[in-house]
Amino acid sequence: MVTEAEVDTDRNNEKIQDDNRSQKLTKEDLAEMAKQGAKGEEIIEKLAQNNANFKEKTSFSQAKYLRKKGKKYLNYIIIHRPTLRLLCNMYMAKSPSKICHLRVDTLSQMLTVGNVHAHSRVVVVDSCQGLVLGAVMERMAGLGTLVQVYHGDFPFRHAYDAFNFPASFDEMLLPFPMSQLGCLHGPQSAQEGQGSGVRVQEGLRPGGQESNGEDSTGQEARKEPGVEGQKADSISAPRTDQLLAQGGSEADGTCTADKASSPDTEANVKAETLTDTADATGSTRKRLPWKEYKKDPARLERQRERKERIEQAREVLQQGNMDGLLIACKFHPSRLLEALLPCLAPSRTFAVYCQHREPLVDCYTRLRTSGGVLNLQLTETWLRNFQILPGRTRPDMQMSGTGGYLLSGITVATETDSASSTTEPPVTVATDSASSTTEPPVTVATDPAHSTTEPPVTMATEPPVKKIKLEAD
Amino acid sequence: MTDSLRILTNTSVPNRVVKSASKMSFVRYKERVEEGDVVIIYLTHESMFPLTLEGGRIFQTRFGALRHSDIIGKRFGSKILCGGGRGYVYALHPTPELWTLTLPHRTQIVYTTDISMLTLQLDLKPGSVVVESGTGSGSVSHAVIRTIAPTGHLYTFEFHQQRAEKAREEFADHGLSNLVTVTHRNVCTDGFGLSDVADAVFLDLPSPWEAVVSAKLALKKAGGRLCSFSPCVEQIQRTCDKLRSHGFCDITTMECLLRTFDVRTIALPEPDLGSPDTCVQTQSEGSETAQNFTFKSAVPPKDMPGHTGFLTFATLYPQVETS
Repeated sequence: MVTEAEVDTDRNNEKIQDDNRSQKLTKEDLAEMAKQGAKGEEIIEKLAQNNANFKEKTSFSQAKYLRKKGKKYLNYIIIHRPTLRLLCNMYMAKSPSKICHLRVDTLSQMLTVGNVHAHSRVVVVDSCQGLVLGAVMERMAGLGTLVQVYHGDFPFRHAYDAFNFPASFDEMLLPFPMSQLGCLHGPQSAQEGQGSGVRVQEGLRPGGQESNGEDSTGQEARKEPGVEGQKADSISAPRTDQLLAQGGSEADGTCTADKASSPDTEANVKAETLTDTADATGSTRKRLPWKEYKKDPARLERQRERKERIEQAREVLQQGNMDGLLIACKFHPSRLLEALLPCLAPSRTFAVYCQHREPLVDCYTRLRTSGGVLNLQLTETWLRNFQILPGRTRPDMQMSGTGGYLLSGITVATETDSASSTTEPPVTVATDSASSTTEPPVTVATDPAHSTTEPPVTMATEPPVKKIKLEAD
Repeated sequence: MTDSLRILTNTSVPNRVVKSASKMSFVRYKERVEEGDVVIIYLTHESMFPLTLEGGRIFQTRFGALRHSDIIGKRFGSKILCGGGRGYVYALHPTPELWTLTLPHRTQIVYTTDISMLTLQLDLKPGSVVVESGTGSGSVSHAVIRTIAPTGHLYTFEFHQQRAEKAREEFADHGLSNLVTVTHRNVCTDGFGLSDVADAVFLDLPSPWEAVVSAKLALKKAGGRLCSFSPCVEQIQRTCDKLRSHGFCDITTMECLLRTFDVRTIALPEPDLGSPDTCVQTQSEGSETAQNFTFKSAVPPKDMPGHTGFLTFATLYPQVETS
């Protein structure tokens, strides 16, 4: 450890030549040492001894040299319990596009600004692998109601699963398909909901393909060749059930049955041998051909349960009494906000994340026009890390350029409470004045869904749970 | 368990007229405003006030007089007329974030951006046991309690007696007494007096390094996280040295700033480059109709807070023998 008192100024790099000849040890020497079973510390010591310039270096430079060698030769593995902090950082480092570049500080803002806490009712729209969903669940600890509005055929919870939540948490987690948000507040929504879930999704097949792509990077990392050729039902039903089953949302008995049968389904759909069926419980059962499987009572039961949960979610949303709304997805959030804000009770907060600023500017403009919200804020956080060492304290040389943008606000009742006078006050004084400037009427670009760029392409498959972190100390 | 705790909460505020069992709480939403509740009165974005409602009383706003009785019974988030119908305000449900914006300052406070970061980086969630010093104005405390409720606990320490008492009162008024223990104590000299209880420690002290040893003791033997918030480099320098020498690992220091944007419509005038008649070079369009290029823009503010403080985080790992 170098302390401030030891900081030397008498040495510098005046005599150090960059001729690539300072290290006397060769690659072969090092390989030989490693083969002999030399410890990392020993190798580093030898490297320093055999480095002609090491003694010439300043103490700072020596420390840096040892630190860099340590990173190479001293590999410790620390096994961490999965936490939101580690998962977010891991995704950000490995494949930021999978989580829409949602940086840890931005996610932390969402959770506080959204006032996520136990015993509340929260809606989450998440195309960050379920990371936001998991974050919200962590803060709710299975208490309250959590509605996941999902895109595609099934609720996608790759990152969510990595949190290792107890199965009991899933009881409060209700899925709701994005494709049914449009008829959420419509007059025919009740009968629409009855058993039309799959059909509605069929209508959205082109969009649905995206999610299939995502899933192939999912928990089981199963490939899905020929998915397009299959009936929507054949893909969506078992997969949803499987996902639900993994979350343990069904009763225990059904849960096991699901786990047992889903690999069978997969096999039928794909007519391909899976190597990972072994880890599924009791998969020795004979595989049913698709025609029989379709009528399998266990499957029908799962379908029914799934529909029930969707209906539950619909009811909860329609009550218009939710406590929080968090959106972090690859879609233009404007229409999602339009559909979901009415689900919130007055005086509740919402937060919308977007990787890009422009869609949020659009949302902001629309919300200011439509009213019913105040304290609208469009923000960005800036994050810089520091190296804190004796005599060498400075910001890190590299920093993240962007962590995305956040739009947040508070819902309010649109009309004065019936108890008070109904006459509008002549002076509007307390309108949402997030910006102090008066703005001319705005023409808002229509068709927001198509104005965004292509959704980010999902990356290659990764093992789902990364509990091991390589640390060099 | 919860029942007995609720009784505790109520007995700790004997003077309060509690008409209903569902007292307003910062950790649980409720629908309607009742007497004794704290509401956040929203006038404008820049102008919000916390208000404890008592029947008969009147609150003067710049939009006119606001009768408490006009708010009681309304839904949170309702528009409330004031000044005899001349203006209106909104009565919002208190949240830790609104509280941070409106609380009576007894000290410098930590704001929501830093609070968010430290909440996440300390791995806080329902059930976490947190140790904090100092309590200050209770800005961090409210947010932490919200996150660790209903099963966690906050031990908060304040060396200023009056402030400690005020904080204790506030927590009681906000329905949080069962989740927090306020202690008047200088932790730098006397320590936390806790051992093997905390999942996380948050230090907001002038000399946080003096509390590191005691913080280590307070953390669970199974390990935990520590955060220290200091505005100055010299402070974090000494704190980091101390943390390193006491076995803390993964020491990181960061700074997190909030940039707000104003959404505006901006009209940039097109320059007049002369008409085609006077130029040999042809001007293709719109030279005679001088137009503006109009667009929506998210404009950053001219001035913004450039520094709040450094957040230093560290992990204490469980002590295990290395083979």
